[in-house]
Amino acid sequence: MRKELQEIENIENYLMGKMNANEKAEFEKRLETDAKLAENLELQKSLIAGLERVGLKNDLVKAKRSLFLRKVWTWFGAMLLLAVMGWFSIQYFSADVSQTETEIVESATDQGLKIKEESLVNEGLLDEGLKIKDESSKIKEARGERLEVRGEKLEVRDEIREERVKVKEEGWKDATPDFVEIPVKQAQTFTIDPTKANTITGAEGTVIDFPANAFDTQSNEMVTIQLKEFYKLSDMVFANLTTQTKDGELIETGGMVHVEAFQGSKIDLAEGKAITLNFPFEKKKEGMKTFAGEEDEFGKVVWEEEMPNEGMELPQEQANRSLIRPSVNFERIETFTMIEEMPIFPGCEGLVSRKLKENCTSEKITEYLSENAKYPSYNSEITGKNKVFVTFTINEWGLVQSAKVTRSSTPELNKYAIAAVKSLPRLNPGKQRGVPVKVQYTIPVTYNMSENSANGLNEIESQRYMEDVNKRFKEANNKELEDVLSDSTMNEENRLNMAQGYVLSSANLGWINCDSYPFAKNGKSSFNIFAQNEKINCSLVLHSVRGIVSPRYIKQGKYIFPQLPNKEEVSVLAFKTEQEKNYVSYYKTTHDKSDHTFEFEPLTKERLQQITQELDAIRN
Amino acid sequence: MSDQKIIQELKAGKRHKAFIQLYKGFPVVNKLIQSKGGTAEQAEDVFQEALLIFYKKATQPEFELTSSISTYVYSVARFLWKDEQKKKGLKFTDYEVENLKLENELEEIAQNEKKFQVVEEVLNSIGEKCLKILQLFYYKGLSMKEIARQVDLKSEKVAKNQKYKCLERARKRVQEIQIVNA
Repeated sequence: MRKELQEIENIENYLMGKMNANEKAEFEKRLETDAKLAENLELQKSLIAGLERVGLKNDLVKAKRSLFLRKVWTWFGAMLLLAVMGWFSIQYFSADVSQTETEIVESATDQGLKIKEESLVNEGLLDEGLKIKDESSKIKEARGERLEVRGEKLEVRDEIREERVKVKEEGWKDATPDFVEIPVKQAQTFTIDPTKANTITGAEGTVIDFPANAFDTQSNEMVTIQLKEFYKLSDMVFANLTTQTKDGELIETGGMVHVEAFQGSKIDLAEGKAITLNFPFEKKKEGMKTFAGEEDEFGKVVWEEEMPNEGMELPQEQANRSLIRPSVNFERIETFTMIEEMPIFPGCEGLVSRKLKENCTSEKITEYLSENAKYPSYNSEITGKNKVFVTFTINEWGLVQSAKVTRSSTPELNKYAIAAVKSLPRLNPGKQRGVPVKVQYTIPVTYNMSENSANGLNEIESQRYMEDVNKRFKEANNKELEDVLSDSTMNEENRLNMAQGYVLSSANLGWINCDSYPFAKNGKSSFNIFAQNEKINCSLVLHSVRGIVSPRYIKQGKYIFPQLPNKEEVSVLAFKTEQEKNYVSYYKTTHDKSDHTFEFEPLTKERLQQITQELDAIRN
Repeated sequence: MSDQKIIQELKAGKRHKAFIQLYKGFPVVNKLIQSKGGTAEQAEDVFQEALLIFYKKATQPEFELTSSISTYVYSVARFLWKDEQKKKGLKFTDYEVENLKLENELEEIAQNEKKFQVVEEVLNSIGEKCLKILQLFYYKGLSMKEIARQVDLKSEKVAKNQKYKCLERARKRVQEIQIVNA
């Protein structure tokens, strides 16, 4: 032992340059002949390189976190799905919301009518208007062509006015509609002393705690906080907010908030400082999480999970595994919750990535269950493969809670499956923002009851199974999750369920079983709207989940919202601005895979009120 | 921060601010990886690895920057992902001009890093306290006295002993893996 210690010390001294010239020469001479020494030297070098990797990764993660916190602390929102959402944005206004104009003058009317003319032309109505005056004024009918001759223009204009009123009713009641602006949320202002801790409460109930010295500033002057609260669906839609993640997944919202701080000019939070948000809820749901918002290419704010907090102490695990001969086959565990850190089985903590940890935990759980599962003594009535689905929760202390059978081919085996699950050792609990939370699992337990052994399983089979587990675990360490999935024993259905499970669970908290969730029960398809090459600001509101969706991309003049559930009630809301006047297209429809078009009309006060009322009336 | 400044800071051991700047290059890499069949998480892993490789190169005395850092990191990330895809038997096609010189360089480094990845995993499995001691000694270069203080051990001697125990643990595990893989 001592000799080895000495040897390692030598190697270290050599590598760190602590040897003098003589010692160094001697060491290098030994290296030439002593293979073991050389080997140990290489090993030490590898270890040091490995430590460097670990250290660098830590530093990288810290930097990533800093960058994240720094650029995204401004907006915070509460999203129901998995937690409180944080929403950050630098500018949240679409550029073309213009200033208020109050006068309706001749020139404005001129302009307004000009636009109407063009629209009418597009709709094929102007031709009618022109035709009336055709013979006498010789005005060309070419679409969109300007009416140059002034005198005739006036006459045609009058005709158009009459014609328009006669022909089309919708939203064109008045010849000169009252254009209004798309509503802009007014900020609430608070002034605080940055050297102290502060709490501010918004008009709609948001409470925000600022720690002392929270801001990145040298000055002790008063800081102005500007707060905007968005709890109504209409407010969210008008402000270009969505309830989608960056990957296009849907989430349920409980509210969003925009916070900015100024000390003369805009200031940021100091590094390492965080603010606490408290959101008012009608009915509180569990599993809240903070998200950060960013503008997508359409200027809509989409969401991304926030970084976890470090330094959360985990309860220590005590793993007590008694080795009992395995008697149960297993299939991969399915989970239907998506949180930052899933529960970790004792022994898996050291793995590098989240995937590996989850894999390891999955494998170890099933391994443990197989070893510890009790089984009934041989019963001639139960033969072949029997499957029992057990759903259980790992609570905040890492202990198994509420295990129950959700599906079973053989009820007599249910209690055994449950007993097996209940015997799991304490795990490291799942975490959300550093806080331990409950996580639910569903595991299919297969009892292979063959006649050949009194214990319901061939000895040989069980041995092979154990090797299989070990092999797959080793493989998992070297392959991607996808690879493991592709050669696992999981059948196609389970694999699809697993993929879908993630998406679905992110759309509605509290749903336990993929199967029972009615969302997208009629399949999904994309919702397309023709845009005719105009610049349009559009969103889709999904009634059943009170979700706001941004288009994913534009193709061939169509705005495309992919993967929306069929037969769902949706509201289309789109704005465009032409010559500083705002137009809106708003209608409700059922998504039925057919293509849609925008139907624009002036954004008037009445229309705006109506839209706002209807949006806010949507409840899920 | 200019590219030159970033490299300066890295060489001087002032990593935090430099890394923050480097992370600004993530979105474009993210887009690349996700458009080539990767998930968001894979993009994060690849980007992190690319930064690691960049760091190792940039801190070498003979390193010369021929393009912008973001271009370099992007190329590394692209190379890594291409490699990943190759392993899975998937093809990777884009319209980037292949930089053979860079690829040759990277090939060697990537190979080394893969070796060290195994060691990294072992290190992550020896326990938090052990890892911390080894980190403080080898990565942060603290004295045994200081380490004893930070890890709450009675004396310098105790700390030294503990360090060797932890080192042995790591060594044994690495050797086990090497035997298995041999």
